[in-house]
Amino acid sequence: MLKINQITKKFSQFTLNEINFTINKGECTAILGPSGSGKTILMETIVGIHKQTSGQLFLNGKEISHTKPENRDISLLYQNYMLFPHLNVYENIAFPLKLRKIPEIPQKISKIAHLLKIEHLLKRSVHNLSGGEKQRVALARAIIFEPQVLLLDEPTSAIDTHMKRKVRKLIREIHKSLNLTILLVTHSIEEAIYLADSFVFLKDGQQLQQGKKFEVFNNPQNRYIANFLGYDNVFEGEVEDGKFAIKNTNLKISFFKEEIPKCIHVSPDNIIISKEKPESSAVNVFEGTLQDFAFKGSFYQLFFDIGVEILVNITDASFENLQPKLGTKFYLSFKERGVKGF
Amino acid sequence: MKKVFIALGAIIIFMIVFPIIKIFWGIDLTILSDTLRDSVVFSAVFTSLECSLYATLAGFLLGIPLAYIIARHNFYGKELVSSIINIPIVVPHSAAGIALLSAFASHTFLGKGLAALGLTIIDTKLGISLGMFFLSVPFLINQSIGGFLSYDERIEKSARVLGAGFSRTFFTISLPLARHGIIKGFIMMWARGISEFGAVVILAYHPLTASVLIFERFGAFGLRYSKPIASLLILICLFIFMVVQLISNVKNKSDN
Repeated sequence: MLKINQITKKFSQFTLNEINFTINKGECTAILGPSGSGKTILMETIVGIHKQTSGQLFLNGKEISHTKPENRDISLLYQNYMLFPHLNVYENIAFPLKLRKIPEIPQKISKIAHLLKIEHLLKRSVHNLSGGEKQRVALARAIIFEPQVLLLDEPTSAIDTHMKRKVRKLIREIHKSLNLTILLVTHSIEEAIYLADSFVFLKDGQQLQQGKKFEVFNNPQNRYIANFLGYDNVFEGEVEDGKFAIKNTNLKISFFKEEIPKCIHVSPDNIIISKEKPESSAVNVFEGTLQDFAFKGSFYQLFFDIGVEILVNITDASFENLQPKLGTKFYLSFKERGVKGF
Repeated sequence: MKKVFIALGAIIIFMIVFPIIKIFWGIDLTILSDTLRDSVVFSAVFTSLECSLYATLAGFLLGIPLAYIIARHNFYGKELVSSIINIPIVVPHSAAGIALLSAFASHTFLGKGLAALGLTIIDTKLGISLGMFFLSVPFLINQSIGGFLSYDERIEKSARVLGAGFSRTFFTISLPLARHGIIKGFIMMWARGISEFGAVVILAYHPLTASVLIFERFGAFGLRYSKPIASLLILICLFIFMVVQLISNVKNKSDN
């Protein structure tokens, strides 16, 4: 178990501020955030490359805050692999074993090479490997000494879409088969959803939210996280007279939730548009002007101005029926059950 | 405009190449043969090579750690330190000789320290090496900084995380990866040291180095007798230059 307790790291122009979370053995936690949020600094602090300004790190109950990187038993795989260019594939993988004087190096390398399907690469120079091959070699080197925790820094950002899928699948297989504890740094929500059990959100060095994947999905703490998770039409505001008043507008939306939300989310799939005012049971009806639209392959995205910008998804058949023109007014309606508060 | 640029460039190339060709052109073969068999010439060339090698080894031991620190760390005064390293490049060499002589004079703490060890810089190989070191060490340090900056720092960080301590990482990862820059700097410093004259002639006229011998032969016997040894020294330096170029080409190929 890795416990990060109030870790702060100050640089002259950036501060990673009081980061707090725990990863249980065998779990995968994703650190999510945009570029410059402090994800890589946090990783490098956890492995001991940077010394924290304050706070503590515990690995299986033992404090490792002041342990040198080489003695932490935490491995790190950088996004561009960082293979040693003057060593061949075999020598790269053997590197951590030799340093730790671990016996039976050839047998161990053979086993990991079989697992990662790189047996045929062992004698090759690392210069002659493809991106995917480098990734697998770097992964082999990172896990061959059986670290307590594996840190993955943007593991698929340097490879093409097709390879991304394969690498993610490989990481998931290794995670399960070796029962590895993984801390994954990524800015891809898709990758985090696929690989991680828990999420930690960072922005500008601050920890915004942390929790189990489904908890975070069901209850994002603010609009920023909701947007990061892929929610469209997220509006901030407050409850007035039983309705949700969207900040900086006169719009009030009926919603269905027992708790008082800070944000609401209106699913773009649950909004109906019509040229005439609808006579349905929908309690939320707004007149809006079509600002823009985009074809998304199997459906259309329409952007309306109802006082705030709101996105509506419609099928291509509906689009053909409506023949919407930019600047045209439409009625947008949605039921209060289609409004989610968090 | 392009033609003007080419013409201006051609003047530069001519000004570099022509004197070098001219020194070999029409050389008196009898005098050249005598020069090659002259033990004084042999000794002077050897002294230049030897002292420059000592200077370069000292530069290697002292300069590589400094180059690494400058390449890898940000610290208060880094710009100042980098500027100080390059001061010898802009200082007139004879003035550098006077400065060194003043610094190591018998009444200074450095002079007293050397005297306590039974060492002196006046007319000794130590003095020659010191002059060569002072004026040529920037070449080694600057090239080594370039060597350390030529690869991603995260390779070193990966080595640390994989179990290598700082020293192990430095010797098994950093030095091998920066080797092209370091070797190039080593050879450049050595070659620059061999050709040093201004500071050396002030610190140690004797034992004679090749540069001082050229000056002496020119003063005593004129151009005809100084040309063979000058051409010999140029040949040595050209050979070293070719080695440097070869290293650069190997580095470029391995990068590609």
